[in-house]
Amino acid sequence: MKKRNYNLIFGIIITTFVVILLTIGIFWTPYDPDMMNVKLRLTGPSPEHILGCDNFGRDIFSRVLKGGVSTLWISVFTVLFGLVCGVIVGAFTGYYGGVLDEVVMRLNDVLNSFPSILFSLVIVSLLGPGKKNVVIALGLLFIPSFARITRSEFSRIKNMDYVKCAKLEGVPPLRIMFVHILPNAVNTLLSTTAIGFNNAVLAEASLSFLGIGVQPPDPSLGRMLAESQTYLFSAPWYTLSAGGMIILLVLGFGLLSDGLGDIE
Amino acid sequence: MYILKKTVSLILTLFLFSFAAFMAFQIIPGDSVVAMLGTEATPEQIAQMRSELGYDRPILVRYWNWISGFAKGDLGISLGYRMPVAEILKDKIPVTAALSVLAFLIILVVSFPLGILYAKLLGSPLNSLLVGINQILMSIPPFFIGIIFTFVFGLGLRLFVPGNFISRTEDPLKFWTYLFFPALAIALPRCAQTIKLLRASILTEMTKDYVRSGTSRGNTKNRLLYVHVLRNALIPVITFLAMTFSGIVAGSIIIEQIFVIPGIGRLLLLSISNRDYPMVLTIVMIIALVVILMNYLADLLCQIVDPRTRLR
Repeated sequence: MKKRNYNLIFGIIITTFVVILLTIGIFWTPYDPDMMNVKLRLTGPSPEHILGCDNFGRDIFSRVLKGGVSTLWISVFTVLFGLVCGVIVGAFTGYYGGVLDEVVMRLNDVLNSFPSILFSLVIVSLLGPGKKNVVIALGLLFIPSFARITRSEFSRIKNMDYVKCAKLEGVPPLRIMFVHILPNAVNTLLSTTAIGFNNAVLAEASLSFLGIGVQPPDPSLGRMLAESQTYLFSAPWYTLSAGGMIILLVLGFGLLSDGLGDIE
Repeated sequence: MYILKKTVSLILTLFLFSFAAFMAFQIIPGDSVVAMLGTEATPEQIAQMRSELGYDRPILVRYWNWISGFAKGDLGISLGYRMPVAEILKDKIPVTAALSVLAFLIILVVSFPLGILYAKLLGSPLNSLLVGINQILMSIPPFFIGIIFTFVFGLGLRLFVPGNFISRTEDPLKFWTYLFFPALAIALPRCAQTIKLLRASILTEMTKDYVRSGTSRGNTKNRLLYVHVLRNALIPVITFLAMTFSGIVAGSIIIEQIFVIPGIGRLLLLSISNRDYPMVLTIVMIIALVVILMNYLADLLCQIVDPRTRLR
C-alpha cells in the first residue's frame, strides 16, 4: 500500500487557504485597515470585528490581511531574487566545475553558515530600512541555498547519457543547461523554493518586529506583534491574531516543502 | 592531515569574512563622524576628528590596524559612547553567552531522548500525533513564543518580572531563572527541528544492511539502536547543531529585545540605530567568530564520530 503524503496534503490545504485569504485581502478588506476609531480602542472579538480592534481602534482582521499580503509580497520577490540568481550561479558552477566551482562554493559555505537575521540586519542598516531593501538583503542571503541545490543537481545530471548525446550533436552549452538539464532539476528546486518561502516569512517578520523592515503606515505582521506586546494584558487577541497569521504561513510552506521533498 | 586542512580553511574563512565585513562598513552612506559631531561642525573639526580616528589613512592600512588590534583585544572606540568598545562589551558578552549556552543545553537535553523515543514510536498511533505537534512547534517564531512566555510566566504566574533583569553578581539564582524563559523561547522551535532530524536520521540508518545482519545475528533492537545505529545517525545532527548554535546567537538578538536583557543583541540594535559603526562591526565580528568556530568544532567532532569523513 502506498503511504499517503500527509505533509503534502496538509501543506497544500493550509497554503491554499492562506493564499486565497490573502488574495482576497489584496482587493477587499472588511474595513479600511488604517481607519481609526477611538471608541473601539482595544475591543475584543465581536461579530462586527471578528478579531477585535487594536490600540487605535483599527480592525485587526483587516490589518492582519494587509500585513499578510505585504509579508507574502516581500517573500515572493525575495524568493524569486534568490531563485533566479541561485539557479544561474548553480547551473554554471555545476555544469563547468573546476576552480570557479571551488571558489563559489567556499563563498557559499561562509554565507550559509552565517545567521541570516544578523546578515540582513547589517545589510538593512547599511542600506536603510524599507520594503525594497529588505527584499535585497534577504534575496542575497537566499542565493547560496538555491545555488547549492542547483549545482548538485546539475553536476549529477550532466553525466547522464542524454546530455552527452546533446553535446555530441553540437547543442550549445546554454541550451543544454537551461532547456535540457533545468527541467529535470525542477522537482528538487520546488521543495527548496517552499522552504525558501518559509524562511522569508520568518525573516521578514523578525526584521519588521525589530522595526527595520516594513515602515509605517504599511501594516506588517512583525510590527503588529511588536506593538501588541504593550497591550498583551488588555488585548491578547491582538498578539494572537498577528502571531497566528505568521504561524499559518510558516507552517503551510514548511509542510509543503517536506511533502514535495518526499515525492520520489 | 584532515585537521590541518580544516584549520587552514578556518583561518582563510575568518580573514575573508573580516575583510568583507570591514569593507562593507567603509561604503556606508552617511558619514559617522558628521553624525557624531553634529551638522554644525566646521570642516576643520571634521578633518581633525577623521585623522584622530584614523579615517584618512589608506583602506588596507586601516584594515590591518583594525584586525591586528582585534586579535590583541583592542576593539576600537565606540562613536556613540566615546568609550573603548572592549570596555562596553565586557559586561554584555557574558549575558548573551549565558543565554545562548543555556538555550543550547535545553536543546541537547530535550531533543536527544525525544528524538530517539519518536523514532522508536514509528508505527504506533501516537506517532502521527507527535510528528504533527512537532511540525507545528517548528513553525512558531521564537519571538512569538517569547511574547507568550512574558505573558504566561512573567505577568501571569509571576515567575519572573519582565523588564527587571537581575545581574549575575546580584543574585545568581534569579539571574538564571530570568534567563531560563528566553532561553526556552529560543530553544523550543529548534528542539522540534533537532528532534525531527534525529528521528529521520535514525529511521534512515535503521534500513541499512548492517542493521539487518545485526538483527539476524540475534541482537536486540535496543542494542542495535544504542550501540550501532545512534553513532551513525548522529553525524548529520552534529552538523545541524553547529548551525543551530549560530541560529541561537542570532535569535538572542530578538529575544533580548523582548525580555529586556542587556546583552550584545540589544547593544547591536541600539548601535545600528545610532550609526555607531565601530560597535556594530565589532559585534558582527564576534558573532561571526563564534559561528565559524562552532562549525570548525563540529567538523572535528564529526570526524571523531565517523572516521569516514576524513577521506572526503
